Amino acid sequence: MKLKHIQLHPFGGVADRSFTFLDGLNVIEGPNEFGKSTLSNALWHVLFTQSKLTPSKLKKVMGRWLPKPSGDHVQVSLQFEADGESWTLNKSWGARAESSLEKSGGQSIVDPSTVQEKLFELLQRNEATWQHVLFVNQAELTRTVHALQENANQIENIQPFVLGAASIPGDISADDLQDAIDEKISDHYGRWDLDSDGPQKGRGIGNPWSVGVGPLLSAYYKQETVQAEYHKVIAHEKQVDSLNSQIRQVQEQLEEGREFVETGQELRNGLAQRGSLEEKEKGFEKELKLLKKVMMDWPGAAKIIESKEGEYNDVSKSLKTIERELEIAEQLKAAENLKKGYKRILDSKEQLKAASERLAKSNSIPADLLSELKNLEHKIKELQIKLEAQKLNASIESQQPKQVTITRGGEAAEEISLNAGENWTATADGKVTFAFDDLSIRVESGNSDVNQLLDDLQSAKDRQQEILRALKVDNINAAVAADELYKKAFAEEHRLKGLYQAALHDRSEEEWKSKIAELDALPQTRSIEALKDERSAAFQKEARLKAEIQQEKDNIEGWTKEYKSPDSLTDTIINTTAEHKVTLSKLEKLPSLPEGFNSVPEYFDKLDRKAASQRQMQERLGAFSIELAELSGASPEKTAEDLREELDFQERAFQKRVNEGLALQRIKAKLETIVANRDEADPLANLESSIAAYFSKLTSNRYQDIRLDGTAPVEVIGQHSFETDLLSQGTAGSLALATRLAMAELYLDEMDGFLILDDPFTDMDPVRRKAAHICLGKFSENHQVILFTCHPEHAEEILKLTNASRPEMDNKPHLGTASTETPDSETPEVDTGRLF
Amino acid sequence: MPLKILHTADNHIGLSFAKYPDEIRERLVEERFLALERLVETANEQKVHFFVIAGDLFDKQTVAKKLIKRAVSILAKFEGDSVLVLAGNHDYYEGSDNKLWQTFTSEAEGTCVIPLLKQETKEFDSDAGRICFYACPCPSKHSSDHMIGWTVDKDKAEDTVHIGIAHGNVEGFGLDSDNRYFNMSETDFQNSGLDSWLLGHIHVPFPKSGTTGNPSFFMPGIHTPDSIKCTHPGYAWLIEISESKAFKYEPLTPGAVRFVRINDSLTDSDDVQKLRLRCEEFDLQNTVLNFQLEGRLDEEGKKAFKDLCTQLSNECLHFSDDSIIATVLDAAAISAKYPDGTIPNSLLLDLLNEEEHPEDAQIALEIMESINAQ
Repeated sequence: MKLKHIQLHPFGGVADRSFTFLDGLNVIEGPNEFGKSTLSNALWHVLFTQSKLTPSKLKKVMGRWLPKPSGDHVQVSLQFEADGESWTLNKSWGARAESSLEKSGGQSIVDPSTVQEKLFELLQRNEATWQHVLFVNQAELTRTVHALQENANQIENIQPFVLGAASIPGDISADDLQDAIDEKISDHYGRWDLDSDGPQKGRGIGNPWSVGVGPLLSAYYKQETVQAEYHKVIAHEKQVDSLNSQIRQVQEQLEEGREFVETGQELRNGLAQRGSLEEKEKGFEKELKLLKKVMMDWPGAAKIIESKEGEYNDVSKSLKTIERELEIAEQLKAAENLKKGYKRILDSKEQLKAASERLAKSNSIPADLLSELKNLEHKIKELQIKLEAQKLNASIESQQPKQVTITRGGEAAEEISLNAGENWTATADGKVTFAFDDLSIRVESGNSDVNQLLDDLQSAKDRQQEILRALKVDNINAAVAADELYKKAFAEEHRLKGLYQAALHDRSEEEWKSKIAELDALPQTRSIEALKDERSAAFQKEARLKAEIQQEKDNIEGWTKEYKSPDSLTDTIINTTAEHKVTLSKLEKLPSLPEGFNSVPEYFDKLDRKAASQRQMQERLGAFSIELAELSGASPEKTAEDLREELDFQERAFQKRVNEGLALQRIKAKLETIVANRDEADPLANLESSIAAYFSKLTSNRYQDIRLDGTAPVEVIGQHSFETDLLSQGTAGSLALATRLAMAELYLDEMDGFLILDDPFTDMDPVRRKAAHICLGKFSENHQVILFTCHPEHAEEILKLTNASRPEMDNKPHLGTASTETPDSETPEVDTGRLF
Repeated sequence: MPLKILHTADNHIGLSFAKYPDEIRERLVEERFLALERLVETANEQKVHFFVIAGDLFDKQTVAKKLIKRAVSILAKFEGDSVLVLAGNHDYYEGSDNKLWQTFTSEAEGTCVIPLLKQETKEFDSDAGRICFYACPCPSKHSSDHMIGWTVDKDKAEDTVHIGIAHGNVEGFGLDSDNRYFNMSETDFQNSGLDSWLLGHIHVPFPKSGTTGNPSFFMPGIHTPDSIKCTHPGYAWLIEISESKAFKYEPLTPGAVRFVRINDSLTDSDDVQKLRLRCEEFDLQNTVLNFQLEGRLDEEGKKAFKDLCTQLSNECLHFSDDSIIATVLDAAAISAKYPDGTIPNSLLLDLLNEEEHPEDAQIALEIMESINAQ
């Protein structure tokens, strides 16, 4: 688009003013009140602001340009060339809001939206690109780098432009594609947790996410919702089925019992009567049976008593006889015992006699002599021990055979024959004497008086022999044995005397004999045991007869009391029999008891239980019906079949989303592989070199190169390199202008377009400004530039250094002092916040 | 004179068709009555003796009273002996408190319409002979046990035609893997000792072929289609039973609306043209048509397909398209869009070679096109 002519009629403080633009650099120079800001805003609004605005938007966007004090509209007309054609654009806002766009020789477009659509088509770049790249106000020039970064998303992708001739329409950079895929994946998995393969934080349909939900989770929620509904419906159907099943069972049970209960109710009265009559009839039957028995028994009762009393007396007599026989039997048994005792007396007497004879034959040893004998025995042993203590060893030997008489101690002399050369040896107590021939040799012990000892020994032995002879025993042992024998015989005789006396039991033998003779005279009897058995049987019979007699007597007493007399009893039987017949007759007329029952009460019991059960079932049925009605009322709108179908659909839809997610991840991986394998030149290198070229000129070749981060310069490179944040204000301004011109050049490449600059060089020193003017002049060789300045010397300089021209202006008076024209010294403002 | 029975079932009056737009929904709801009316008219023309509905005359227990009344009023126009209406599993009868059947019974009083709500026999002396019907209604929506066992012990006179009326699945014929729908078997029918059974529940007709013989059971199928799953025009049986108990039967097609789902695969413009011709064979004004097509088309094919869909939207009773048609992608098409050497070109060609996931290239292309559209 190339601007040709603009008319503001009115706009802001301008009542009617026109400007005619030329190709190349147009310099509009004037003081602050000149209306440069008004003109630039008019240019912006005619190109980018629709004429049809809501009242509030009109006030906000165009309000400040409505003529004061009472102007109700603004209007701008613009002539331009685009797409090889001449175009006339008219827009008015406010009371006469309208738009028209007319191609030379063509039809006019008047629909505001269509006009705007066509304008965007002719402008070729989007609104943000025009705003942030091609309309440059004074204040924003130095913010160029930041502005480009801040609005990068809105400005058109620079990639195709930097590629220049190599660019391919519709091509997409790896970064953009990666960003788009990442965004797509991020969006697709919105609120989805890939690790758990479910909603983030497990938030299912009970507590679903509402913000940031991606298509996958959305499909999941739909599937889960339908599934929950489906299960709910299935549960509801099962509940209804179960209830129906219970209803059916109860109804079947009711039906089963219905006939029984209904029939029973009809039979109830008749059967109730039958019940009582049956009881009565049974009573009559029982009573008649009793009466008939009494009738039978009463006449014979007296005879029975008489008979039984006779029998009773016989038994009593018999019992006495038995007892007498038993007494004798017991006496006879006592006599046998007496005889045994008498025999024991006789035996004892015999034994005593024998013992007395043994005692008489025994040798009685006087105690003093026995004692003396024991003393002498002791004394003899002591003397013999003393003599043995003076033992002599004697030895003789003869040369010739010789007869020798030898006396050793107190022993008798002994004769021995010695052979020639034979040696004879022996021992002797105290002394020894050898006598042969005429020679006698006596040897005595020298320790004591052996002879005295021998004498004492002999004396003691003599006395001992004397006593033994007197006692007629051989030795002391015999004396002791005789003494012990005597004492034993004495004791035995004494014991047997005691036994004999005891056996007599204080009776004499004669008395024993007399008693035995008396008992031997008693008669013989049966055994005691047999007699006792017989007595016991007799006792029992006697008791039984007594009881039977009493029973008969009681019966007679009772019957008499009850029936007075047998005649009276006969009357009672006749009456009762008649009543019994009447009852039976009534029973025949009543309904009979159903089969399977033994009695009316049994039947009634079952009937009552059945009827109660029927009532309970009826109540249950009622409750079930209410429950079923409630359930039916709460029936889900959709059926299980519908929901199953819907669930299948949602499951497929969810699976489709899952597959889409997987596809996106595969695409992302594939793209990363492709990018990693590409050895591609930096696509922004063209932009970098273009900015560097401008910047080199603007800094008199102080810096030859720059480094970009994205599209923003971050470092200038020359003899000294600096990060852009460290540059002086003037150098930073030069870098901003270089960047702006380079980008404008790229965006305006191969199209008609324009660049608007509002006093961009105010802060530059003369040297930099001159360089800037030259660069701008160079830029304007290919593109139309509208430059506003309030500095006449700047205008003069640029006109001098370049092929710039001043646009023609049809200068009409201002609308009045009420103009809101912004002083040129101020930064032009547009209340939309988007221009300059 | 043969004894004539018109046998229908699964009329599902009260189906709401909620997923369709109002005007279509009304048409589909109305169709269920209209098809029933057509059956009654046919029955009258054919001098049918008994009009038997073997369950599911109504779609649910909560059918509006006015719909019940209208159904009864249509059936009451039957000029034969009786209309016998069995409770099916959708319109089951669990007991005397059932509102649906209370209304129905009340409306049917004094007409030839007889609800069959209990296991009982209904014996008739028609001018074509004596016939005894054995009613086996459903007492609930689901049951693992069928309801026909009681007929075995009933005495059956030889001079009478014995016909059972029941509702439920038949083993080996319908689908009831969970055994929830009163499943009956051929053995059960044989054991019953009846001459034949008139059944309902399965929405396709049986016998599948033939017009004579003594089938152990008849299944009429739904009388007019009710959903896209129904691939037939809707049927009922006109059955004639001779004095010798020989059966002759012919299908009736009272339905006027068809549901059609086409789920073919499209590969080129020719396929689209074939699809168009196929659609033109339908009575589109009375057809609910749904596409579930898949495949790939080039730009020309896609345009033709789009045009066809637009045309069908205008001509069909209802048309919906759930197709997934991808754009034909080949190396040449990709290179035409993204010249060799560009990232999109490399990515698309690589994805195109992924045989396991042919859809990936299409998805990537869509992302690229969305970037360019911005």
